[in-house]
Amino acid sequence: MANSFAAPPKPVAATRRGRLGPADVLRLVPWVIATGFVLAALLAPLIAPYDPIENVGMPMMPLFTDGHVLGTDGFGRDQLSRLLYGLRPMLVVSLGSVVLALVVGGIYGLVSGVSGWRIDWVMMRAVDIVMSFPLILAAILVLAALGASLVNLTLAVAVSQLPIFARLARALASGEAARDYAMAARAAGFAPIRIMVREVAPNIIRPLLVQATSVVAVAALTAAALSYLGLGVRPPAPDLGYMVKEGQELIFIAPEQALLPGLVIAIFALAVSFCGDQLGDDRAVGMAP
Amino acid sequence: MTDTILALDGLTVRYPVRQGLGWREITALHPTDLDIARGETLAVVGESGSGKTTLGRAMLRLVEPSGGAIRYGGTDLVQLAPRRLRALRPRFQMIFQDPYSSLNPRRRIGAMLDDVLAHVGVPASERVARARALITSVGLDTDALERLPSAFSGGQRQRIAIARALATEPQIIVADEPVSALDVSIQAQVVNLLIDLKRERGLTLVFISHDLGIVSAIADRIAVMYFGEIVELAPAGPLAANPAHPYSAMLLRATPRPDVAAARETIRLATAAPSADLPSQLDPPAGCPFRSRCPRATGRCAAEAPRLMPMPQGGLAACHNPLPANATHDERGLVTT
Amino acid sequence: MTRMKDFNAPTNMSRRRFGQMLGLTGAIAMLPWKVEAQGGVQTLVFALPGLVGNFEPHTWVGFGDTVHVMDTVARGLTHMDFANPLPRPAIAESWTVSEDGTVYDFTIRDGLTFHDGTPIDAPAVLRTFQRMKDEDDPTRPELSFALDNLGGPNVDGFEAPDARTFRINLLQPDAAILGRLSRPDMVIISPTALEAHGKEIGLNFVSCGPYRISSVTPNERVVLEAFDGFYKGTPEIQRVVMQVIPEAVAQMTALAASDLNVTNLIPHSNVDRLEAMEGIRIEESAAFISAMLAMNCEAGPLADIRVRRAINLGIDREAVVREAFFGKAEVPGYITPAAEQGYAPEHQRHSEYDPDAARALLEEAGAMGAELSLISENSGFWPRLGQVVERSLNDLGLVVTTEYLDGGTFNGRLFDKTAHELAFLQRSAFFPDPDGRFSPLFQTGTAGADQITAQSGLPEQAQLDAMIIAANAEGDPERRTQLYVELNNFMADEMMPVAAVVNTFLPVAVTADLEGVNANALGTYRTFLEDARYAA
Repeated sequence: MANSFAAPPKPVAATRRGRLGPADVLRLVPWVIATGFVLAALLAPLIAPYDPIENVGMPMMPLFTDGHVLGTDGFGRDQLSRLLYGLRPMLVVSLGSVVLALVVGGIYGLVSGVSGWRIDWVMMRAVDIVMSFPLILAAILVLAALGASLVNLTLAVAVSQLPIFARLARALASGEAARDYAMAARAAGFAPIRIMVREVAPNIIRPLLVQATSVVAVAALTAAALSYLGLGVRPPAPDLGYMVKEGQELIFIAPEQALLPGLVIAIFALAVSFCGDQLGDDRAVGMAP
Repeated sequence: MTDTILALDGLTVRYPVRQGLGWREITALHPTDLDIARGETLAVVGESGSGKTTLGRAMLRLVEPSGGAIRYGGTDLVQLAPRRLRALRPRFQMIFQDPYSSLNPRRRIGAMLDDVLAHVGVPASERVARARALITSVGLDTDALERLPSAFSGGQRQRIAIARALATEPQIIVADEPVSALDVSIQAQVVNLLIDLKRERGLTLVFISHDLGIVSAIADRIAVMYFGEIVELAPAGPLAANPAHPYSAMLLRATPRPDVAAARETIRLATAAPSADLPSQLDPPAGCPFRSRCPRATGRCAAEAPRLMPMPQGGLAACHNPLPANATHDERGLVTT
Repeated sequence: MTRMKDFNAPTNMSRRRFGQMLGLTGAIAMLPWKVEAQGGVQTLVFALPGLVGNFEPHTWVGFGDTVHVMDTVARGLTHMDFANPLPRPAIAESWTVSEDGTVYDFTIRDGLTFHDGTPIDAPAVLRTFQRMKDEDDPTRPELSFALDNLGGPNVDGFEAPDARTFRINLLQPDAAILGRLSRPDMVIISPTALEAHGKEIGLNFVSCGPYRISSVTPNERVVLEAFDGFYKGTPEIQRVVMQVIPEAVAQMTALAASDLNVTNLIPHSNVDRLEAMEGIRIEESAAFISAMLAMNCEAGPLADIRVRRAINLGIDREAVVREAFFGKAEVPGYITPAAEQGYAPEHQRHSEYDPDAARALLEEAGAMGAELSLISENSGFWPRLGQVVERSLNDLGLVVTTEYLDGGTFNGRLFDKTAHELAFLQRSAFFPDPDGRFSPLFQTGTAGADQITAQSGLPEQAQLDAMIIAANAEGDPERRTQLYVELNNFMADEMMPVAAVVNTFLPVAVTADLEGVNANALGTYRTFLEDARYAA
């Protein structure tokens, strides 16, 4: 995959193209689930039966009630609609924060990796400081400073992911910058920025993307945890993490109120993390000589 | 030297290294004076770690010198602001040892050459033709321009690297062990290509190698480096035939030759002077750095560092007890301690 | 005579099955306090939200644990039983008030001792009160706020004219002072212990309540033993274990497994579920806890009383009771809840829901579509309350944005009139005296009137201040009550700086075999366990 530009097509690729074995079907499952969640979130206004913040029924209607297949919450809002809409902040935050962390952390690491040892040392110690905070604490500190909102939550989760990308990008970039093609570009008289952007960056982007896929799951869970703590979307807007919190005290009465959103979070995180693993594996295979 | 193109004046390179919690400096290149004549082929020879690569890169300011000057025309490259230095860079090019590392794996050959040509101001309309001419001149087909480096063998890649170096129409090319990573059967082809191109274009070539055998055939002058210093600098012929410095003699011995007795001698030498005796760069010895491996070392060698001095053979050598100009083969080779 | 309480007997299958359903019985069986609770003595296990372990009464370090433990191990001159509106005698067996209402003489009960055997006499009582007043007292803690809770500068001084008489001199009459003396920070401390431990008294606390402290493990539990010198007699249950179980779900599980006997921390949503379970009883509690919506009278459209009236008319309080409290709350009258003196049924008109009238008022004030911010705490029932209130007000045509904040941020903005517009406000009753709802909150000079509602600048405030002072100076209970009835009406009709939203209680769940738990008190954060006993 990674080396698809290599001239001779690999025999493995040939068989894959031919017929899908059971293992290949199994590999598709997480992709189908993750895509399903994204589609459900995008199409929520079309497929959700009700407005997620309107009281549309009696409070606490049970599962499989006519018209409310997943029942209603303590306010009388339709649970299915809230679950569908609740996917949106989770996806926005997890994907948005990872993209943000990838871009900012990637650039930071790239600059650090290709800069001289002094700048590199200072930049990496700064990352170490951020890294010495537990992920969730770093995020909580950001939210405490900025206040709770979807944008700030995305920022906070991004901050918690930044060090991962900064370090990976730095390691990759310093490896690439030490290679002779970077030196050759310098010898040709290209400016450092240009060498960074045109020569080094293209060579580190792919492993960074694979890393990004594998941390989407972590970002989703971090986002859910922060929402659970009330640091995410402002109620009454639906949010899976906050739905778990609201449902928690009802665990004896209507366990589905906490379990369903919890399950959705877990399945999504699991699916994207399997997707990330696959990309990582493919990369390893592609890189083998 | 009549027409000097590049003059090194006390050029020095020191690197910081971590030691425990702090940093220390090691000297990779001791203050070095060297004049490079326009049009000559200067070979720089030494074992790995001798500082020859550092010298090659420092003379083009591809590593930052810690001191000294690089005089080119009326300017000192060391003092030059980055922007002005970059403007001069196309005049000096470098060919690297590892052709697998020196070509960006994600850029097609044509695009790579196009970048360089554009950078040196070749108009867009001419670039394709120039790139084709360059790739043909190094013996490759023009369809190579459409490919990525992964499509080529090592020898082919090194030809591409040469084409890239030539693209800027440089005055000086520093070739850092350009063939040592290649299969022996291809080495001669690439060296010959380099030498031919150099002659055709009237370039100055600095050829860095660990193999005194190869360079004595192509070089006008040879600089022998040991422990970050030039220990002997002499015209190629006399040096190969009649080295003044015992280290040069040792390198000549180390050159593989079809001679069973000599091969045996080489092995004996290697055992007698194990690399464990190589001085530490972090803790440099006083006196002559070579003395721990030198059969001719005396008390003076431990006390006083030798400087480059004119030798009867015609070159310069840094040695208190140089080999005599008329030394026999045995005298040069028989290292008895 | 007394029944041995066996914690292991499967007294009730449904409880056990309930626990098993949660998969938690195994874990509960191993909880440490259960072992502690065995050993042949009657034991009552009570759930604490947290435990700092320092019981200094004059400056609380933790809220929940300090009050619960203080009420159980200490006692003051008077005692509020939350059944009777007037304070009962406690360490003082009786008292007299001077004609002008400024001198209170308390007769100390004869023959009582502290837990350490020190006799309780007037000088001992004086020692405790001097510690509040005398800023040079070497045993006085930093930031002692007890005197403020007794009446602050209005308290002129304390005396012990004879061995059994303790006297409080006031500058102005304060009819609420008898109630204030029942607060958990007015308890009498053993002077011997005070002498021995000084500022460390909170860690070595000795008073004269129904139980004495046997052991304290911070963040885990306090073990208390019945005190045979208590003025009401030795409590029937010999041992009380106050166990830290902060999570409501864990509490309910422990309750179901009979590992917990009393808690007042379960969510309103679970009351019906627990009540339906055999072996658990939900006690009836009066609704002493009021949630109010404070309206900053200096903030934009809220400066117009028509807008404040519209908001008051526009809150769907039935929906609040149903959706935020699962029915376990009441639609209020105004400031004074129905459970306290000073309430009159006519107050219900101040909490009428009339969205049409509200919209008309907003139109008239030109405030239709006005944007308002509402700040709320992000824990407990507040987020649910916030969502219902926000919806109600937006239905009127206002644009209300609620911010859910952590306690520190919330308080910071609540006490700064430039930092909020609408804000939730909670008032519970440490002692159910009607003054407690007014003078500490709505009188000029208090943070409430100056910052939270910023009503101090209203022209009617001077009259309100005068009415508050007059009501609290009235010694006759009936006339006093009537004055508070009028205070409610005046504030609602003329000023409307707050909208009463809902009155509720902390649901009190007990194991079914337990009787005599003071549910009214527990429903408003007070913890009187001395009358508890197990049914024969």
